[in-house]
Amino acid sequence: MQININNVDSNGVLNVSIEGSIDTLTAQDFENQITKALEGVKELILDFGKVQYVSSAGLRAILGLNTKMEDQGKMVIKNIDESVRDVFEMTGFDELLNLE
Amino acid sequence: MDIQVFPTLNVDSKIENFSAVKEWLQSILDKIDCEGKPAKQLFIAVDEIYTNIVNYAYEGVGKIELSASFNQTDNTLKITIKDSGFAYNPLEKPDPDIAKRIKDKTVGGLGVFMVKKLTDSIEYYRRENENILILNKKID
Repeated sequence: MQININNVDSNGVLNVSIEGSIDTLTAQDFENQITKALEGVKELILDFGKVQYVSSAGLRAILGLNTKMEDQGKMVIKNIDESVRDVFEMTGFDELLNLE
Repeated sequence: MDIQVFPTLNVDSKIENFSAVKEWLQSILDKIDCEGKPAKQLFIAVDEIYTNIVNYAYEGVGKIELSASFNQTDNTLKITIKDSGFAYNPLEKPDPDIAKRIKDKTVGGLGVFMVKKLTDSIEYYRRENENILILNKKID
């Protein structure tokens, strides 16, 4: 998994793109790396265009980030592929998260 | 009935060994030309079962054996995951109450539920101190 974290723009928007899978091997690193970049961020935009799949370890990490962002703004996930969307829907995560 | 049998993988029950499991699964999927959605669903299903074993089957580190075969007649991939840890039948666990999970914002118990949704059937056996879990997935 590879994470590209951009600089926070003047409106407090942070764009992050993820490539690979968010699974039992990578979920912790995914959450930790992004968490470190959240200072002053009002809107976190996660680009899932290159995410292959998300397992429950990944869901836990995504939920962790979403909870942090609820305290300081909001989190949006965009460019979700069908397989990842299926997982969000079967687990009810589509109701918890802002999906675009 | 033509059944293709793949090499067995034995690993210690550590999270970092999931990278070897992923390579093993990918090599099987390549051989049966399985890609896209069913492949992703299999990675998730194996991830969930593997992670459960690592986290709960043993007090310390134990062994996990993964084997697989492909039935060419009905296009079904069968993945068998064995451990010799505490007896545990994940199929006995009731499905999580999704509405409650959303309300509470928790993730616990979702793994096995996802495996049930992402495979066509799951079998569990306890034999000679081993937990044997079989995932059956039709590859279209």
